[in-house]
Amino acid sequence: MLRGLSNAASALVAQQLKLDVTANNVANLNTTAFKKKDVQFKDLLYQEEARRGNAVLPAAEKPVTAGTGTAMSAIRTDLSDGVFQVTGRELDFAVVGPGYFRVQLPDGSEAYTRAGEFRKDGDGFLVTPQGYRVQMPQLPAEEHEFRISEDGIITAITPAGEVIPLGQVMLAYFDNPAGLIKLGGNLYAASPASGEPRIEQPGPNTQIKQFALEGANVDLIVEMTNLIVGQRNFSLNARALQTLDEMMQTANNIRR
Amino acid sequence: MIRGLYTAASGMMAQVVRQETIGNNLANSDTVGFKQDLTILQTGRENDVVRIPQERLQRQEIIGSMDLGVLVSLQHTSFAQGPLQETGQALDLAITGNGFFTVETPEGMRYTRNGAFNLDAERFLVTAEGDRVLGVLGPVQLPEGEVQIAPEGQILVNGQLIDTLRLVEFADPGQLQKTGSGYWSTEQAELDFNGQVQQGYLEGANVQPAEEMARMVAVLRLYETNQRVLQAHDQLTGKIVNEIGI
Repeated sequence: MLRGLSNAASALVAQQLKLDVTANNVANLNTTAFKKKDVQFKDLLYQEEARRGNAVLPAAEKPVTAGTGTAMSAIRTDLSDGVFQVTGRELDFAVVGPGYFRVQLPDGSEAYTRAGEFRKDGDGFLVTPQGYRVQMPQLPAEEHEFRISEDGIITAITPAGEVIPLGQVMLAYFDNPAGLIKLGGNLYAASPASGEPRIEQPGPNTQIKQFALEGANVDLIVEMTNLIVGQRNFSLNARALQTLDEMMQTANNIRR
Repeated sequence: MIRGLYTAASGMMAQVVRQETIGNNLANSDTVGFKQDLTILQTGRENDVVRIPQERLQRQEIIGSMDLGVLVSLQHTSFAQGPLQETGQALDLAITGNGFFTVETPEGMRYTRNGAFNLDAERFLVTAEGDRVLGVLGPVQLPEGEVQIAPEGQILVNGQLIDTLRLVEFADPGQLQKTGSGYWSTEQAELDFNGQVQQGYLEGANVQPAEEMARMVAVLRLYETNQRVLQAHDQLTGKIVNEIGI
């Protein structure tokens, strides 16, 4: 009886989590380069009924078992590209295809981002909105225009029309980008699951686009459907809990 | 008299087992590759009913038989197809028709219908539990590139055949034992796979919420009915003790 209660309770917790993740996806609908997440569930261990003292037909060919509810098995990140939006701003960059910009954190470690909404600091370095330096060639302090080619070569153009090459932007690539750790603020860190980054030029499958940003890859209709599924499953399992409550009440009323 | 008391109690206990199964089905109605269970009950052991002998040494006369309550006879798993959900992810696979993916776990070979696979740090194809998915040549390791999976399980990366998924069927899937995390184990011989693998889809649970709700209502009411029977026996016993004896 009490296990039935914990079955229902495990499902309420799981569905609550699904609603939380869905809400987070919807909340980040307008976050640059946000990658949506989805929750995967699994069934739990199966217990033999006979061992629990229930009356079970002894001749059963396979042991009669009952499940013990559900739990989250994974929160998966969908790494597909978001919608690219042309902003016309000179220091907005988007990565089309795999690859991450490299960002220097204040503690000296490296973080990775796809949100290329950069600005220039006093020394001519590009920085993220938080003020962390991006691993890119230093830009001259003068009023020059900047261009970045699709394969990552940065040039400055003087008002006179002279083109000054500044260097090459290298991107970080991962064997398993789904294993990156989210640091918040659109930043990711490498983890044992993601593997070490490979620092390479934008390759045949990757291009850098200037004057554009990558939007979130959240599909509102999918999220609303998930919201409905989560909410209905929640109610369904709440009803299972209620039924068990009534059964226990019935058992309590055997002798009044 | 007491016999009836235990018959009613066994009825109540059997409904609890049913409710636990329904609860587990509902809890997993959003679990990829989950197959619903159905608790099958059957009548308890048959006992001869004997006429009480009128005289000593008279042979006992059997006047019929009676079942003693109810027993849980088996947990039947329905392997009906679950609904396919499109995800568009290259490593999300669903099986239409019969059959299972094979997975290497620390406890040995396991079978699953949950094709929500990922890559680990060494680019091996793994389940959400981190267990490696098996191909015909062993654990599947994918080089970088565009992954295509054919309906018969061939894995192509950038058009190159890497391996074929190890897909199996069983003569009697009803005998497969659930071990949790969407896995099954069995000693049965593996048969050739006749289903199809759909890339970019996941198979949802085949739980029918309306069916389970109807069962849940029935369980609750049968539980109450058995409780009433138990109460009636209690009241009868009470009358014997308090009224007849006086």
